[in-house]
Amino acid sequence: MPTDAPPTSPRTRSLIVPVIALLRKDLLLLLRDRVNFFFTFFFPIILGLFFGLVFNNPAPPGISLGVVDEDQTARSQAFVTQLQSTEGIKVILNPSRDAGFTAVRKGKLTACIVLPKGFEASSSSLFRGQTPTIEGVIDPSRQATSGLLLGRLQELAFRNLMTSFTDPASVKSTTADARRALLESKDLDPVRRAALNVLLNSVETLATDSSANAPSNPLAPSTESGGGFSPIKIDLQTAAKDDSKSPRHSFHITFPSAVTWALMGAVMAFSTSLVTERTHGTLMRLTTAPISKGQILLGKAAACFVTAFLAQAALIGVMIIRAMPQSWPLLIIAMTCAALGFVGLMVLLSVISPTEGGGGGLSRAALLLLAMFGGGSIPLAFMPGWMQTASSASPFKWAVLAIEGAVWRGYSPTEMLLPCGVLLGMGAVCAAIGWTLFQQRRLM
Amino acid sequence: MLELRDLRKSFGSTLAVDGLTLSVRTGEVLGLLGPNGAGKTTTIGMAIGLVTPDSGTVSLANRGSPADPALRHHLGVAPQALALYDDLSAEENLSFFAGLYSMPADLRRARVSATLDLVGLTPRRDDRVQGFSGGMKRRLNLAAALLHEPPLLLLDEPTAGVDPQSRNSILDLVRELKSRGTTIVYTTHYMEEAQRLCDRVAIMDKGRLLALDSVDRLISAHGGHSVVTSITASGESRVQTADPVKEIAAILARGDVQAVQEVRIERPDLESVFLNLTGRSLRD
Ligand SMILES: Nc1ncnc2c1ncn2[C@@H]1O[C@H](COP(=O)(O)OP(=O)(O)O)[C@@H](O)[C@H]1O
Ligand SMILES: [Mg+2]
Repeated sequence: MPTDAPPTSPRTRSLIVPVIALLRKDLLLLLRDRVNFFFTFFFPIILGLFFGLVFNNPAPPGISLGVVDEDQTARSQAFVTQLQSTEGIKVILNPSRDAGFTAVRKGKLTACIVLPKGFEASSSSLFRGQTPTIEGVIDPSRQATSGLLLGRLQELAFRNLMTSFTDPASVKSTTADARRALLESKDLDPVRRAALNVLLNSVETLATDSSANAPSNPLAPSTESGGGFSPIKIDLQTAAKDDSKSPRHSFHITFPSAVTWALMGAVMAFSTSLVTERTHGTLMRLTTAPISKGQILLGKAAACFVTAFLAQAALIGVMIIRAMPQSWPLLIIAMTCAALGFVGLMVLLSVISPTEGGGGGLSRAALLLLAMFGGGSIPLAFMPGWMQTASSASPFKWAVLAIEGAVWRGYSPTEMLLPCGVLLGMGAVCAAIGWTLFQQRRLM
Repeated sequence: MLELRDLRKSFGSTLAVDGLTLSVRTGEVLGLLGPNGAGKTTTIGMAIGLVTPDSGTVSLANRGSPADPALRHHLGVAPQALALYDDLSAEENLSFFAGLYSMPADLRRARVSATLDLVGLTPRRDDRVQGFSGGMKRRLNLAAALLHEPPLLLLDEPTAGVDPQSRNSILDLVRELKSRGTTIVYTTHYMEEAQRLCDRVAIMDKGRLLALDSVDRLISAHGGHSVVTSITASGESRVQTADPVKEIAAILARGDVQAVQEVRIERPDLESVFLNLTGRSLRD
């Protein structure tokens, strides 16, 4: 309250104090109006949570795995083929390491791995202790799946290992390599050398014997445990954060969508409040007080702004339990612009709605339609193309777009100008029309 | 204090106020007495700048129309239709209205408390208006007009729909305000209230001002004669007279004082004034 503020001129005081009184009064009334309060603050949160959890629940969506084959050998290609037939993994071949990693950062791929040059060579020199290394990056928001992905890759490598034991040709070449290596290593203990020779012999025998009853499908689920031994080394890094332009969590979709209902609640709550004041007789007290009509409208607008902003803030407050926005400053700008835009709409509606019943009902229906088309029912990101275009007519769409721009679309401040500009422009035009009509009209 | 000159206002085909001229003097309680539909509320509406007259002028404290926000500090209004927020408490209502007058917070708190005290609502200050009785709502409606201590107070039927106890406390309050020097325009269709409270009474009917004077002078000018009733052993006799005291003296002089069982004087009142002016009763 401005009592403690530095001394203000009586003129400024008489401009500001009544507006603050109107603002406080309207917020207090909203707080005590269960229906409007529920629809502005709780209903959107319930929607955001409900759909957010529903869409998040069924097993995490499959892993889309980018694969960059730098080795381009029979073995690396076989590895890719095997990956492609692995359940739960969708393989997308990427031409280059950069393209693949960028796709992960943008959220287009869950992860991307690189089969480096020398992949074939290293995987055949099993006994030389040179484990093939697979490099890769994973989307930070999908780290929960990184364990799963690693497991799948290891499993595949193990199966390959088993295959190499059951394929006589492959085993022969491997053991031949090993023997050569054995001969070359002059400083090996003779006892050990003899033992390894015996081992290699028995491996060759085993391979020839078992080839007859080798599993027809080398990729049949294997239950063998690696016993702590890894046939391949996988180095999976987390992709750099933040410049990905896709939602990382279902909340990133459902909460910005729910913003439409919060804004709608705020507009509804205040667009009929002038009419309510008229029918309840309190408007006559306002008009006989030493305040101008403009101050009355400004008080309503201020209350609507605070409500619209807080209702959005409440939604974001719940969203961040699971999913953080990319940019806080842009988000606050987006929320402010959305609130201002819809305050303008409220001003216009409150001036043109003639009665509490009829006009209110009509504007309610129109708003509802705009909200549904603007992303309130079907999230913008899921709309078919024509509908996304059509939705541009709805101010709600621009609010959702601005919020999404800050939450996950990775908008730059320049990109933010469009949705914010549309919101502010719409608000200004509506408010100007409403203001003009209001000034021409007698209040009582 | 308040000058109404040749005010005229019609709603569609209804002529609500028809050429009314009235001057409210500083410090007086002026009653606007008339039956429902006489045009009292419309007159108040024009006086406070809420209703635009079709013709005529209103001047507040010789400064112009009260439609000018800058002049509204001078007046307080208790409208006939209650103007309160049901979902706010008594204190929250008053505190909000005080805010409209740009009162600093500490003054506002003081004025709200003092006013709640004045109308006897301090024990209910934190209760929502929703649960108030008609009388309590009326008193709060009146309190909202007093917050900024305006020199001119316009009370439109301030006792409508209240219990006798609340009515008495409202009448006491009006007297208290008058004693503090507040100019009051008091609208009512109860002639008892006008008679008890008002220095001058304007009698209105069908949008027109029929007479304006002090209660006594209205009665002597338009009330007709007093009726003196005397009851003796031989029966009852009623005599109309302009001078009831002289008539009683005559009755007593005529015969045996012992024989007179009872003497009653029925003085004319504002009701008789209204009857004589319009040919109708105020209560119709
Ligand atoms: N807003 C209005 N619209 C139409 N008629 C009205 C309106 N206000 C008052 N009237 C009419 O004007 C006449 C005077 O009304 P009013 O001033 O309320 O009288 P009072 O206050 O003395 O009862 C009545 O006939 C009433 O029906
Ligand atoms: Mg009336």
